[in-house]
Parts: sequence; structure tokens; C-alpha cells
Amino acid sequence: MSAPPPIGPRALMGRSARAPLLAGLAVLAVTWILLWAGQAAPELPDTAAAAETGSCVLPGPEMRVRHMDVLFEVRDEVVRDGRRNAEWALHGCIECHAVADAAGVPVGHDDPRHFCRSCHDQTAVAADCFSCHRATPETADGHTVAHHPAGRAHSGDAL
Amino acid sequence: MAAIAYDLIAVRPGRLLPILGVFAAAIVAGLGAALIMALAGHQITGMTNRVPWGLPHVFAYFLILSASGALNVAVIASVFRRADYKPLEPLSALIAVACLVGGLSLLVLDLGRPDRLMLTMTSANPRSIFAWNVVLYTGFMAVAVAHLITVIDRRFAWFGGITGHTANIWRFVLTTGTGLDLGVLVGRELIHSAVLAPLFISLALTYGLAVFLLALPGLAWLGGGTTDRALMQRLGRLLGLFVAVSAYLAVVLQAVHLYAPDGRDVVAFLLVEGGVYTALFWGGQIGLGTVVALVLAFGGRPIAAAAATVVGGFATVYVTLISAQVLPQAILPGMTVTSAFGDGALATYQPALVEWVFGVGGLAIAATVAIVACRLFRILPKASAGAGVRAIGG
Amino acid sequence: MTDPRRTSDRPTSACPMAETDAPRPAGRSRRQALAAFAAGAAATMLAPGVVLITGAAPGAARPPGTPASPAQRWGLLIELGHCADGCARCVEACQTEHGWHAGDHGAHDPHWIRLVSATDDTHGRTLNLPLMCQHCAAPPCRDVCPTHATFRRADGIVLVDRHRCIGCRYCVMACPFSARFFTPGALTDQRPHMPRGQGTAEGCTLCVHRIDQGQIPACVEACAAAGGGAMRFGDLADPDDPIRAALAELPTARLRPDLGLGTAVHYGDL
Repeated sequence: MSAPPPIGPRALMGRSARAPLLAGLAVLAVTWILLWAGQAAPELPDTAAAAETGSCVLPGPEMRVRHMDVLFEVRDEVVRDGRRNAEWALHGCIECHAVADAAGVPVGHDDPRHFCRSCHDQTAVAADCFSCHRATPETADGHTVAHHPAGRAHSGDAL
Repeated sequence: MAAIAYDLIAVRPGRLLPILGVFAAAIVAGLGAALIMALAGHQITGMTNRVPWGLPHVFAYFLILSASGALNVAVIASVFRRADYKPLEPLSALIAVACLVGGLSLLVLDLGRPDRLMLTMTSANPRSIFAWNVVLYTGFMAVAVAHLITVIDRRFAWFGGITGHTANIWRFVLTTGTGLDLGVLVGRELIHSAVLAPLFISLALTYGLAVFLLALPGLAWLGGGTTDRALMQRLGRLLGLFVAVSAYLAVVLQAVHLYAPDGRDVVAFLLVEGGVYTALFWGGQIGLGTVVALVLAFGGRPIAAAAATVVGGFATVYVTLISAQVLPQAILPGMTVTSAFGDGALATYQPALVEWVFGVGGLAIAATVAIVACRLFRILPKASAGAGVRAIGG
Repeated sequence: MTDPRRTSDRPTSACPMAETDAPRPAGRSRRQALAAFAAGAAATMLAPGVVLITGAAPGAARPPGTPASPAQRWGLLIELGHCADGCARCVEACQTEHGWHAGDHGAHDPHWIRLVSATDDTHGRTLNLPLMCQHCAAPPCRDVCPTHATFRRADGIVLVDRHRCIGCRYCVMACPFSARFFTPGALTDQRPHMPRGQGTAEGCTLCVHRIDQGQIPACVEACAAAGGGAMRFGDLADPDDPIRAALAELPTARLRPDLGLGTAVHYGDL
């Protein structure tokens, strides 16, 4: 091959660099287009009856729009400043919005019937609250039978 | 002086592609190990609440120190204006970037919540050296890449002085931060010392040069090229000097402990009673990493010296980091303590297989970045690229 | 004191959670809160000695929406002479209250509070020492945390904001008392008032959720209930708090005073 020029992009990269770079960009572009093509705004499903009976902290439609903004503010105030907020305590929401399975046991966040997942799955918005927050109401003896028949809290041995 | 000709690394059959294939497999395995650790949690590793930083951090620290030191040759060429090292300047910057990419991958993927890494920048704690390191490491990569560009594209050559000096100063700040990461820990007696900053700077100069002295002939072999024997000898003797300084500072670090009874226990653990840690100290840090490396370096065997330094270097980082955690913390000085948590007793650290695979994956990332960059960009001087017969440095 | 974010005028008493929850601030008005406290204090007075042993509860629950105050500095006084051999009520109470336990995963387990058996090297006297986060005034964990996840609340309690923790374990490295722990794996059965999750750091919270409701830490309460009387809780910054009187009378020491961390846990008979 002829001597490469001393300056300019050809000095930096050989011809061999252009093909993989262009191919990589093309793959990215196609993926992007496929992900977004034909995406209409999702119809949010009807949520659990509790949310619509009007006893929630905010009316249902307003809650859908604003709940995360409020929660982001509240969590910093509660945790960092110590400004307790009885209304927006997450475990209060969980106790009201619990969805029970056929046996009457509240389902956890791994179950698609979980109240938060009914919208969040549809909108594909990740909510990792329940990696730390309890996703079900606590029963009288302090534990949820569905998850741990032994009735003790312990770290999961996933995998 | 005639312009130095750089070229892409030649693709010799049976060399470049099979080697890249092995490294790619190691990277995939390493990423798999990271995924397993992320899903199952750190309970499947040897890293516990007694020894929270383990083998992945040993690999990461070694790579980060090497990254800082790999810039040695570029600094000699640009800051110290030694023209005979100029052909190797871009490779030096590349090795620095490659090692840093590997080391950072390990650190980030080992986090409990790596998805939140952005918080180290948006919610940074100015008192935390870890937070500073995030800025220092990424900034170093940017400066090293900028310097690389100034060397291989003559339009930007006028920038070279600025980037060279900046990269040189930056790496000293970076390595100081890496050392003080550990040196400020009041509860870890073995390493709670300001000496850790100059020690880590010295270790960085040592390991970086050693990695360079292995990478250069390695790339030359991959491309079917050659290296300049005289230049390698000179760098080998420089490596010997760095090895000696590192050993001196390591001794100084522990010498202060000898003047307090509690400190004497710590030194006794390191030198005599530490089991595997004592073996690694004498065999790895002192034996291979200092004595053998010195003999080889000043005996005209630079590549062997570099290999001994690298192996000894891993042992040094392992002993320094792990034994500092294994030693019990002095919660109640003057009392013998026991507890369900193992207070007062030596902790045990047994690296799990996932940690080894993960760490080796980080090494493979560094090597792959370097090799692929040599194929995409004109970084190697012509002879070591395999495309010509002119010796490097001529 | 209406929450400005509430745009609906539905009263909160319609909210079903009010009946089922653990003790919560009694109501919106100070009068109700004070009345509730007065009733509680009267009941407490009927059990002789309990008030002296546990120290007064820190007063009424802080009204909702008011921040923790820097005028308060919560602390503990633990009289090791009263710490009975073989008693682990404080540890068990903490485990129940916060949903952690030790014994499944060896050194991966958390030990928010643990009993350390300490034998003096010179005269051989042995003590049982409950060890937990010391809630330092100058906490090394806070200084090394890269994201401000570990922070010191205004009233002195050192906490982990798990929304910001990236799981780097630098705080676990830095704590001189080994009082920080890293959750080993995925958790599902958390206590509702104590979120804990995989990949974050954790440790003793001084039962901050109870303190904010005018109660005392679970360990202190369990010690008192067992008749041990070794642990007291109070406001170190309040000269009228009984814990200050006790500190003035009893010889106490703190752990690693040479480090100058300003720890909030005082040990008597150390």
C-alpha cells in the first residue's frame, strides 16, 4: 500500500479502521430506529380498585403524573432532614395498594400483578424501589408467608 | 530530524488473531463473572465484611498503578526531551490508557450498585478520595488521549508540550490519590500512613515501566517486528532503579511500626506469622519483585526483569491491601477481644473463582484495548509494527 | 399544618393505613401529641424505676414535617457492669426490629450490634461490651463516602442514604469499629420501616424511626424490659436529660478516644 499521509485523519487511522467504525455506527442506527419505530404513547391500564376509590393521597390521574416527583422530594426530606411524612411513607402506599393472589397472599414485586408493575411494566420505566423497600404489607407476625415459609427474613440466595 | 514513521501493527498469520481470540474469551468470561456477582451478590465471593476489598481490587490497583507509570517513556520523550525515546511516545500513552480502562472496568463492575456511578460526579463528596479518583482517572484518560493525538497527528504537535506536562503532573496527583485512598484509613494500622502516597508513586513508576517493557516486545512479536536492544537495556536499568526505590519506601512504611508494641505485632505478622501473606511478602514482594528483578535488570535482561517485577508487583499489592484488612482492628487496645463477628482474630480471605475470572478479564480488557488500538491507529514505530526493518530509535 | 403538596381536600383520617400502622405521631396538632405523651408518661410513672433506668423518652414525637434539630445530640450510656454474661437481648431486639440476622453467611453477615468479649491483658478482667455504630461527630465513614450516601443527620445520627449508596464498601474499610456492613445478597423480607437492599451499606441507625416518634432504641428498651438496666438513651446536648446526670456521676469512657472522633456511645466500667 502507498505511504500514508503525514497528517490528517488518514495519518491517524488506516483504511482498516473505517469499515468497522462505519459498521458499528450502522448497527447502532438500525437498533435505535427499530426501538422507536411505531411507538405510540402507551395506554396506562386500570389500576387496582383502591386507587380509584378516592382515598389515596392524591387523585389517581394526578398521582400517575406526579408521584415520582413527590417521592424524590419526600425521600430526601425524610431520610436526610428527618422531616417525617406520614402521608407519603412508602409502606403506607404498599399496605393500601397490595394485590393478593388466589390464596389471598399479597404478591411481591417479582410478580407482574404487583400494583406498581401494572403501570411500570407497560411504560418500561424501571423502578428499583423494591430492591430495598418492602413490596408487600407486613403480616401480624411481622413476615409475609408467601416469600419465606420459614418466616424469617434472610438474604436471598439467588442463582 | 526526520519525521518518525508509524504504522498499523501487521497481522501475521497465527499471531494477532488467535491471541485476540483468547483475550476476547477472557473478557467474555470476566463480564460473565461480573454478572454473576451482580445477580447473586457479593456473598458468593470471598469479600466479606471483614475483608471488603479483595482480588478484584488487587487487579484494579495494579492496573491503575501501571497506567500511571506506563506514561514514563512518553514523559521521558516529551518532558525530558530525549529524542531517542520519541518513537515510543504514542505507545506509552496508549498503554497508559489501556491499563486504566482495564482497571476502571474492574472497579466499576465490582460496585454493589454500578448503575449509580453517575452519583460520584453529580453528588460527589469533596472529602472523599474515592470521589476525587473518579475525576482524576477519567481526566487522566482524556489527557493521555490528547497527548497521543498530538504525537501522531502533526497538526496538533504544537500542543504536545502542554499535554505532556499536564499528563505528567496529573499522574502524580492521581497516584497520590490512589495511595491516600488507603493511607487515610485510621482503622487499618498496616497502611495508615502518609508514606503510602510516595510509595504508590514509586510502585506506579515501577509497574508501569515493567508493563511497558513487556508490552513493547509483545506487540513487536505480534507484528513480526523488532525492538532496539540498547534502548531496552537502558529502560531495564531504569526499571532497576525504580524497583530499588519502591523497596526502600516499603521498608520505611513498616519501619515506624517497630517503635510501638502494637505496631511490632503488625510487622511480625507481615514478616513471620502471616502464613500466606508472609510467603507472598518474602517470595513475591522481596524475592521476585525486588532481588530477582534487580539482578535481572542490571544484568542486562530487561524483559525477564519486567516479568519478575510484574509478578512480584501483584504479590505486593495483594499483601498490602489484603493483610491490612485481615489484621484485626484495635477497637479496645490493651484488651484481648473475641466476638461473633471475629473481632480480635485474623480474618480469612479466600478469593473465589469468580473473582479470579473477573480480575483476569480486566487484564484482558487492557491488553485488547492496546492491541486493537495498534491495529486501528498508527501507534507503533515502523520496525515494531513489522512493516519495515529500521530499528526503533534510529 | 397541611402538606402543601396535597391538592385534594380529603382528610387523612380516611386513609386506611392510620389504623394498621405501628405507633405513629398521634395527630396533626401539638395538643394531641402532648396529650398522648402525657398519658404515656403517666402510665410509665406507675412502673417504679423504669424511668430512671431507661432515661426519659426524648419527649413528644417530633411533629411531622419538622426537621431533625442540631440542638439535639442523641447518645447512649452502657454500663458494662450491668451487662450480664450470656444475655444478648439487645442483639436480638435489634435483629427483630430491623429484620437482619447473623449466622447464615459467616463473615458476610451484618452485625449491626454485637457483643464483644474483652479481657484486659494486664489483670484479666472480662467484660461484655455491646458494640454498634458509635455515631461519631467526625465519622470516617462519612468522610470517605464518595456520594454523600453516608451522612450525619443534624441530631448526630450517622445514617446511610441507600438511594445514593453505590456499594463501593469504602465505609466498611474506613470504620475503625467495623460497624459498617455490606448486604450480601438480594433481600425480600424487610421490615417496612427499615428498607435494606442488595449492594448497599448498612449499620446501626440508633433506631432513628423510633426516635422520631418519641420512643427509645429497641436495644435499650429490650435491656430495660429484661431487667438488665445496662443501657440508657438520651440527648447528650440537653443538660436536663437524665443521661447527662448519669454521665456526670459515673466513670465512663469511649472507644478509641485517641482518634478524636467524638463518639456518642459512652461505656461505664470500661
